[in-house]
Amino acid sequence: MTRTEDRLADALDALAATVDDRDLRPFADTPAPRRPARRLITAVAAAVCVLIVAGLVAIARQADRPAGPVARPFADIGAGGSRPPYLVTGDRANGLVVRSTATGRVTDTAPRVIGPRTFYGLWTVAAAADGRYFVGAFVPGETSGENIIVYRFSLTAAGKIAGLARVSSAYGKYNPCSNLPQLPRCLPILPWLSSVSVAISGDGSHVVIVGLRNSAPLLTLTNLPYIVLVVNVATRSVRSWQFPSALAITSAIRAVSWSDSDRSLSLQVVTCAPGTTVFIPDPGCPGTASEMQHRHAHEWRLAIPRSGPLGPARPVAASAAGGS
Amino acid sequence: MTSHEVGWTGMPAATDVPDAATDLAGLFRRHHGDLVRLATVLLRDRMVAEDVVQDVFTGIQARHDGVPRPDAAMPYLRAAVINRCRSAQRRQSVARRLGLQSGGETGLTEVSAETDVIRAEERREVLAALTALPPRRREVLVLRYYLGLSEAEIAMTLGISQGTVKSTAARGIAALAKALGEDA
Repeated sequence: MTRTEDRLADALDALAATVDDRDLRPFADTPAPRRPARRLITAVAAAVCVLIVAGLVAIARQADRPAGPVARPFADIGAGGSRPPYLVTGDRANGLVVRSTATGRVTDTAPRVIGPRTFYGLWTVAAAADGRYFVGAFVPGETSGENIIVYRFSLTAAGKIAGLARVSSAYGKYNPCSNLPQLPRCLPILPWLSSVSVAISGDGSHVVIVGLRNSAPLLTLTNLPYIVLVVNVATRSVRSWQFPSALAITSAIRAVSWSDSDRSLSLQVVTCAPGTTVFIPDPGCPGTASEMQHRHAHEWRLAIPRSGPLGPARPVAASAAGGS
Repeated sequence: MTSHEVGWTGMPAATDVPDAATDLAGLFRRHHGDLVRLATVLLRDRMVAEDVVQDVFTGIQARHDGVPRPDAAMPYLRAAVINRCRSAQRRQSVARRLGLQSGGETGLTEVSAETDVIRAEERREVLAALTALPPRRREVLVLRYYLGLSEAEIAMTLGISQGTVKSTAARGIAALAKALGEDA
């Protein structure tokens, strides 16, 4: 044998020698055939198992809640009465970055949490109205096998990220959960989205992701309608609503926010002149100055019931022609 | 059967197995340790290796009629373990990409560090180079240099031709030698 072969055989033997039969887990023997006298015991055991599983699910959900110190709400983060103490942004190199708005100093970062294959990508970050919870969505944007990844977190009074937890999973192509989404520990795998905006409800229980559903990673002009996904963080259920197909060519959703005490979503929609196609991802309208005059900004309200299908949705306000 | 699946046809008909439960328990006692060692050298992760072997036996148990004949047991079990190791390696790869898991962990470091640190480092280097090989090459080399199987036995276990075994082994050793900076 060559030296390489000798070294390989030696390394494999040494590795195998670390396995001691006495340390191996036993294997449960095949259960004996069921007998009528055991039916009652079996039924009781099944009931106990159900209770245990229910308990484990409850524990798992509890574990998903933010760990560590819970952030104290900031003052007036959405009302404009005072400056929020921290600014959270995301970038591909550093992940989530928290800065003090008073000093500009970085108070905390969350390391990049995705694999080395991800070269491109965009972060979208949003805060709840009271500043208690944040949501960060990373859109890998490289291949169709990688989906949007959403995180929920909060900030401590010192500007430290607390309770960073993944709300959705990615790598749907390889993730075993893609085949068994009903497993308690499996996170929802969201469709590939572009032109994404996110928002989180005030109590942190629901995350909304709005984007253009697309099977290809390239940001191209498309007639596919926008889709609104509402994720229940505790149950991991996902409800969806699709922007009217008839408006897909001329309209684009620019931003989303929770409103009406988290009972509805406010969608900021840019609508271009009839016969034109809206630009994405930064919604804009093509055409001549005359055609641009037809551009409107609409606000849509989408009802978010506690359960059941999302909707209805309707436009509630519009800017003057040419506005944005 | 795809090119990534190990072929084996040693599974008997139900009528061939008079007492499947007894046979399965005996099969487990006889082969469990050897199969965990095989999975460990393929995966470099003892805990996952144990899971893989448990899954193989659980799968046989679930089939009720699936206990292989004694003479065919070991080749069948090896093939099943190798198949499940491939799935586990895919999961490990995804987990590493997501930052959920570090590289392969075994007891090799602890055991060897007490006696020969340098040798342990050399072994780690070899195992790292082996892990970097494509799955098929890695499996052929493990079956050849750990289990000492002949080309015919490897071919039967992996469901490939002897010629493919020979060429795959040669390419695998050459790749290892190159990675280790040696002459094959």
